[in-house]
Amino acid sequence: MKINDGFVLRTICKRNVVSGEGTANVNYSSLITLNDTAAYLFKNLQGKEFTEETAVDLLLEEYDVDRETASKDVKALFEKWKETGLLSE
Amino acid sequence: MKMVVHNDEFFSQVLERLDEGLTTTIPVKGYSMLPFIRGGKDLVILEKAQGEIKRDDIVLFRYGGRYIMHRVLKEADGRYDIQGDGVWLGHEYPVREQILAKVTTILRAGKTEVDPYSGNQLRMVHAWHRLGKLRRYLLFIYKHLPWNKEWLKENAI
Repeated sequence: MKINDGFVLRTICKRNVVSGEGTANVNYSSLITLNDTAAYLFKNLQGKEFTEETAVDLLLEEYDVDRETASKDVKALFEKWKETGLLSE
Repeated sequence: MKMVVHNDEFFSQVLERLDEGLTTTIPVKGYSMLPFIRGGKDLVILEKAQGEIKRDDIVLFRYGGRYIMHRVLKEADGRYDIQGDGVWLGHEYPVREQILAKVTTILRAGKTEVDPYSGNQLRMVHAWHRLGKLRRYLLFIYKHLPWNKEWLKENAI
C-alpha cells in the first residue's frame, strides 16, 4: 500500500496536520490531524510502497511497545487513513 | 473530528501558500456574505491579490486585527469601500496593502464551482445590493426558513 499523492504534513498550532495539496491548489477545508506517532509513521512511509509490517517495524524501532500492540494500533490507524482517503492498497 | 485552528495561525498558513503562487481552498465562517456565500456550507478558492482590485471583487483583507472576506463596492481616495453582501449597515475601508487575497471561485456546498464574477452572478449581486435595507428583512426570513435553522445553529460565531 501507499500514501496517496498530494498530502503534505505540516505543523499548525503545534499540531501535525495533513492537508491535500495539488500542484496548484492547497485544500484547507478538510485538514486531518495526526498525533505524534501517526505523524512519525506518515513521515517515514510517505513516498514508499509498504505493508502493515513495515509500519509495525517502524513503531518497534522508535517506541517501547510489543509487536502485538503495535500491530493492533497500525491496523486501526490504517483503517482510519483509508476512510479519509490518505491511504490506498 | 473537528480541529480548532486559531484564525491568525490559519490565515498565516494560507497567505504563505498564496505567496508561493498556489491557490487555496478554505471554508468560510459566518453569514455576512449571504446569500452568495453560506458560512459552514460553501468553500472558496483564493488567489493572492495582485494588481488592480475592482468593484465586485470578493477580497480577504486584514482590518482592525481581524481577517474579513467581503465585497468591494467602490474605490475612493486610495481606500476601498467594502461591505458584506449580507450586511446592510457596516462598511470597511481598507487601503490596498490590507487586501491580501481575492476569491476566484465559490464551491457551493463544497462541490459545485461557481464563478462569482460571471455576468449572471453579478446581475444577481447588483440586484441584491439595490434592495438596500430590504435585504435585512429578506435575510431575516431566509435565516428563519425551517431547513436553514440547523445549519445556522451549528455555525453561529
